[in-house]
Amino acid sequence: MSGSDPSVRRSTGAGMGGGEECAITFETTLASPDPDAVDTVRAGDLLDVESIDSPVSGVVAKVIGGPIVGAIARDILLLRRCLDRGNDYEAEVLRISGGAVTVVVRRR
Amino acid sequence: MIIVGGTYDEVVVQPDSNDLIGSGVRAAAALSNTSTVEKLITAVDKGTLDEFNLVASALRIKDVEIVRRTERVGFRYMTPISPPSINGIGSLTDGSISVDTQTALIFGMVEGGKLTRKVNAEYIVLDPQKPRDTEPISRRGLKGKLVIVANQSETQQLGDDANEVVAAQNLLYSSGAHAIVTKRGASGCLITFSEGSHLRQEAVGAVPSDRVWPIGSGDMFSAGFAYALDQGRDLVEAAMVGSQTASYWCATRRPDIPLHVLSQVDSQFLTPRPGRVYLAGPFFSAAERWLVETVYEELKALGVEVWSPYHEVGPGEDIARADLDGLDSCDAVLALLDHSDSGTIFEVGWAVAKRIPVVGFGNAVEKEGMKMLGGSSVELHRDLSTACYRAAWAAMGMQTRPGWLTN
Repeated sequence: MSGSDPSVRRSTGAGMGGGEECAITFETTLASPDPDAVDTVRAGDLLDVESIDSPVSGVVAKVIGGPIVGAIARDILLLRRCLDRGNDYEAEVLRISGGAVTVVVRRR
Repeated sequence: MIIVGGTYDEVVVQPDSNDLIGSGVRAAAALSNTSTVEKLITAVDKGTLDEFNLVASALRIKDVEIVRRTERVGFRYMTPISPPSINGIGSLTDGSISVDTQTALIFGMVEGGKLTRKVNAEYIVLDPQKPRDTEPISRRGLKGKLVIVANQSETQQLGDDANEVVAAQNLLYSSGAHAIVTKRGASGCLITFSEGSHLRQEAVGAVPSDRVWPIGSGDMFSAGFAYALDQGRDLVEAAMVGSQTASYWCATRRPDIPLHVLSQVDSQFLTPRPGRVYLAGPFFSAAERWLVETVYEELKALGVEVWSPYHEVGPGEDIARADLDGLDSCDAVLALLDHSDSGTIFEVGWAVAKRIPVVGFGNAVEKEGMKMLGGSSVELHRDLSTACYRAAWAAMGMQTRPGWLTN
């Protein structure tokens, strides 16, 4: 195998216990997606990842300069800590199915 | 409705996944788009509390009563179809919980200790979640119509019979329950209940999805089922709602289930027929044998017969005729395509020529090399659990779709 096929996923090292703790990469499905915002995004779009404290504390994925698409529940404590330290993350939309948005979150 | 259930780490090695969720949190999240859930009662240790609060906010779980436990509890899976190892199995809880509501959804919990429960509800939906615990279901502290929602092996153990249909009948009588709902994985579920002096058993099929994340699908079934009962649906309709709730979760992994999935029964339910899957794949290296063994066990657990050359014939020189006779006797093929083993590719071609549906799994196989397969009639997957479920469903009568379905 040549390894030229981009759909063949190779380990990023994330979740394997090694490396810097803020070098986060993971796939997740957004919680509580806003249907209106979901209608504006497509597979391949890049979303901002932001820490919020109102109306509740959490981490959200939002359209760049636009509305919140949904909440990120995975690795939430670590993600908030790393965002607080000035790390910048994006969420790439992998697929949208039945109102559900699956993204890959990674550091910019 | 009040939900009682666990908060657990769920870690999967391949594909990489790591969530703080568990049965109780998952069910409460599932129903967060409804106004039905009054409260989630769960056990959390001091070290997990901050993370739990953030996760509960993200999942819009508003009212939580926390029982303290002594240590964090987690499940670790090699793949979503592998049995988990459990961390923190010695975690203890203490105190008492009191539930007074219309519908209570109670999940069995890993934590031990002296936690006592007093439940008063019209319906008590009890999902024991105790595959290793063969103790009879205790009705102590439970006042209401008890509906036991158990998976196949739990029903067999609790009903003391290898035949799950008979076991469900036994369990209905021995537990004094209003109904038994047996979750049958890819085959859907079986509802066993009394109607007057007669015993009735109704099967509800699964709702096949294009993608299957099976971890937590049983929790989602119970959540959808309990919600539908709470909304006044009968047992069979509630099971249909449970089945489509589980299917939506499997397809999307979205934690909050849309209202239309919970309130309208409009899915295509597969009426399962007995089926046999031919498991094609190389078994030369340790990794290949591990995969064949894992998939073999999973397919059996999904409710189909499996004809595996490795298990039925084994390695050797003069195996072709026996393997192909086995293949001809099957309703579908699951082909393990990584390493593009020539024997496996030949078997796929043979099956395609004989119009036997083929589902292929290749985690690392190059798409370029699969053009003939996907371009003919072979359904292809990068995702292992999806491939297993889709092969089982294909053997039960589901139509496969050529080309790559999971990338």
